[in-house]
Amino acid sequence: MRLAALLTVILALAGCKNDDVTVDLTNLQGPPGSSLAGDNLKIQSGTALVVEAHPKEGDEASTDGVDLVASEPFTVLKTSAKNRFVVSADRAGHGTIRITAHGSDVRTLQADSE
Amino acid sequence: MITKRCAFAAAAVLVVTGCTSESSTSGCGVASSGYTGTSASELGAGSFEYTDKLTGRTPKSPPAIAKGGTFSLAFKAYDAPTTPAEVTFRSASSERLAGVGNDRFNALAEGLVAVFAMSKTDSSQVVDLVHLKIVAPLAIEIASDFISDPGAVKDLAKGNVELIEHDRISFTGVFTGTGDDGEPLSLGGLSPTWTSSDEDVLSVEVDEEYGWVWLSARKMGRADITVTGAGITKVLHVDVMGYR
Repeated sequence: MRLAALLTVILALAGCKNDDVTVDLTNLQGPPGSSLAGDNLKIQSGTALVVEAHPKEGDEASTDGVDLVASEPFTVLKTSAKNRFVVSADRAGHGTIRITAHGSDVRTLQADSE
Repeated sequence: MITKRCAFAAAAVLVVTGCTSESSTSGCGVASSGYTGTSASELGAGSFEYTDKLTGRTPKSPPAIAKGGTFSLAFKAYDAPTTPAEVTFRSASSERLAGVGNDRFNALAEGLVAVFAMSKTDSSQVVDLVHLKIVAPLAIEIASDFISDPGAVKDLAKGNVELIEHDRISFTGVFTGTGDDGEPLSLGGLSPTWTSSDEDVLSVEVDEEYGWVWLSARKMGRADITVTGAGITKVLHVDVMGYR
């Protein structure tokens, strides 16, 4: 009985993958002066840009939810669509936008607002 | 980077949103036209409706809002077309666009500004958003909507008007600014005030519902109509003539 349980645990662990979670980002059409290129995001102060996160595990798309955490002067708001966010800045400045999955940082954007 | 997950979980049903294209121009209700600064909804969940509080007009959204202007917004969700969605509005920049109550705004500074329609049931969730353009008024464009005597108005562009005694003629005064393309841009949210130098000759009556101004030629004579607002003044020199 114990042997069977141990085998079950071993098999379950063997099925676990330790793939890294990565997140691709895209943006919807935004106002003039806004862009997302690599890890650099730019928006004009007072405006907003809609971004979508596409988490992946290894080469495969993931259904995981991710969060975006912004530092001032940036703000991140969620939308009704999973992994779609609205990024805005209420004034000019530099900040970061951390992308987290399961509570851990996955990627950090350098954000600038003019 | 994090590591985690069991293969069992990874084998779960994969849901693809279908909204994965960068700078998407189609699908998912995203506005596909070029950005114009009008109040087209940007998440495609509904429509923003602009109301000019000063005149009570609820026209199509203006191309831009006058700096110093006041207006209100309403949001109608597409899945509830007859009922305004339960949202609260939030400006992305209180220095540029200040909220007054839930749905009214004061345009304080020039520039583009985002307004978010936030869910009332989840105040951290954006239902939809719109960008509005705030432009400093530079001029007042005066037009005549109706002329009882087609020959009455003379050279309105130069501010010279001739009316026949007992004529009643309507005008509109719209603030204009300069668009990104250098062309004049009509501005909402602000209406000029109209005064007559001689009410016995020419009276002024404002139609609050439509934002028109009626000038009534009461008797022969001359009067100046001063149209002013936002530090801009335009004068119409009006001659009231007798019947020919």
